[in-house]
Amino acid sequence: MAVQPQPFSGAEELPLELLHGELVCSEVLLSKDKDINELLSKLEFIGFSTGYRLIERLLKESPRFKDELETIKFICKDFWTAIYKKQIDNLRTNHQGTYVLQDNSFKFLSRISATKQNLEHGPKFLAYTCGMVRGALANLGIASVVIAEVTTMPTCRFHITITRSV
Amino acid sequence: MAVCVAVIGKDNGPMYFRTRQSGVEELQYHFIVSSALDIIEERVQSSGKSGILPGGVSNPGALEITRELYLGALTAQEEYKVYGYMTNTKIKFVIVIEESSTPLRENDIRTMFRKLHGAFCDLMSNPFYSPGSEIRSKRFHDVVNSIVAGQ
Amino acid sequence: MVKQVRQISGVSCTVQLSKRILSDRIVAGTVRIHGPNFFWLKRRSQLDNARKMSRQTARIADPKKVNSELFTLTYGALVSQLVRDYESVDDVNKHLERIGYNIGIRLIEDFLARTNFPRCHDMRDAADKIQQAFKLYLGLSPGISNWSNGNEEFSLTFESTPFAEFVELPDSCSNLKYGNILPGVVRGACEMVQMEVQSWIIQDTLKGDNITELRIRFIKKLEDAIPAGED
Repeated sequence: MAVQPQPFSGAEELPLELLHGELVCSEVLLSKDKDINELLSKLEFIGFSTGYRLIERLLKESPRFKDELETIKFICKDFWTAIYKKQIDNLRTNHQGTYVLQDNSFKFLSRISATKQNLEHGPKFLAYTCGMVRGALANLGIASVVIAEVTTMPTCRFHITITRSV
Repeated sequence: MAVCVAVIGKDNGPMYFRTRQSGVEELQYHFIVSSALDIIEERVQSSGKSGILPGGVSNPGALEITRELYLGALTAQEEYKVYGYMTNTKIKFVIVIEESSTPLRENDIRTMFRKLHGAFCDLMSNPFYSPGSEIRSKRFHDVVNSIVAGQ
Repeated sequence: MVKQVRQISGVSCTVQLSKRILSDRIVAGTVRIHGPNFFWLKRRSQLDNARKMSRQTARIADPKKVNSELFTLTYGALVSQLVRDYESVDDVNKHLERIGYNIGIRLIEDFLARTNFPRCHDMRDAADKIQQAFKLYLGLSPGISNWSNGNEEFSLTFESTPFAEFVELPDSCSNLKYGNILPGVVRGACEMVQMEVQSWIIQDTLKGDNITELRIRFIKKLEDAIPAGED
């Protein structure tokens, strides 16, 4: 089946991308003392709140998850696809509550060039997503710590450490 | 017809409680709903949830039962039946139906829960609603009213 | 801190975690960049397995709908964050407008690239294009109405406030202009095509009005000087 080029495809994704970029780069979330950690925690919380509420909607018609792994798989596939239009490329776990999700072309990183300086800015572009994952899991009864790691743009890894699972 | 609609939070605290008529009866419904919660707990526990230990190690002895959100009739007395529903996010909905001359079909009950769940999702999406807090939303209230009124 | 990690395949390996980094992660919360060797687990592609065991019923039906909901929820989280951050609701309104402006000046580039539209010759023409942009990016079809006599001012009308589908304003926010990002976007986008406009919300369904109405007024044509990126 040949894929027809669609001149307008992807347009509906741009507003979120721009809004996200704006939150990351502008000073609107920065307090007077320009504390970067505060910015990160606000971004993370905006993501958390979004993820927490979004998962409620996404799972409205869906049967209950069997276990934690199944939940994580949902995050890797359906949740990621809903947000980033692609699945997580690789999932690893130690089966003891640590999961590593790797995205080989993370959308929010794909538009910025891979200079060293930008690598330093990496955390800002990941905080929202970390929060989204943590929020979605939290609402499903899984408390976790989510951190992200960038080694080479635009690849990045999300480490989910489950702290409590109900 | 539906005489009582309750939304119970993750921690089993009531988030919303509505009876068709307020007054003495209300206390009785509180009692009915809280005993219904025990049954919900049992049902979802036996559906394999408890078979999973923290960290994702599964217990092979766990039974796989229903994974549906709708839990069906929980108890049935002469005058009323109690139905339950639990979302993926562990919010419980309980609806008490009074037996009447025109009995409700299973599908009608499912429709009520679906409506309630839809209204709950919309409520959760309101950025000014803090999750888990008491529900004061007018929109949500209107939907519950329509359920109680049998529309 | 040394932790034994059991692999799915049964192969064991040892993971060295720096205690400092571990506590950093928990205290500071969320994001740190670590070196490539921070964490090492044996690769295993579980997604293939996951595909086999996929939950057929959990498919997300309509990606476009999810997309707009995601924007709506993110925007909502932002607005409520700003309401917490700033004491005055007027400040929040101002910030939303500025966020919109900054988005507008970027959005217009994408719009011009996609559509290849020629330069607008008058306000009616511009109104038409703004309407199309709403359709393209947000899937909304606002009406155009209430032209002023000199054709320099018009309204975009929406059935309800965009991104506010689920919002119920608390009493403390009765002055909040929830959708105030929109006039900012319009102002920013127009400025990049050498049109200075003024834009503001005059009716809002969140406040009980029947429609939401965005007023846009042409101020002047800007000379080709490149406007500053930031407000």
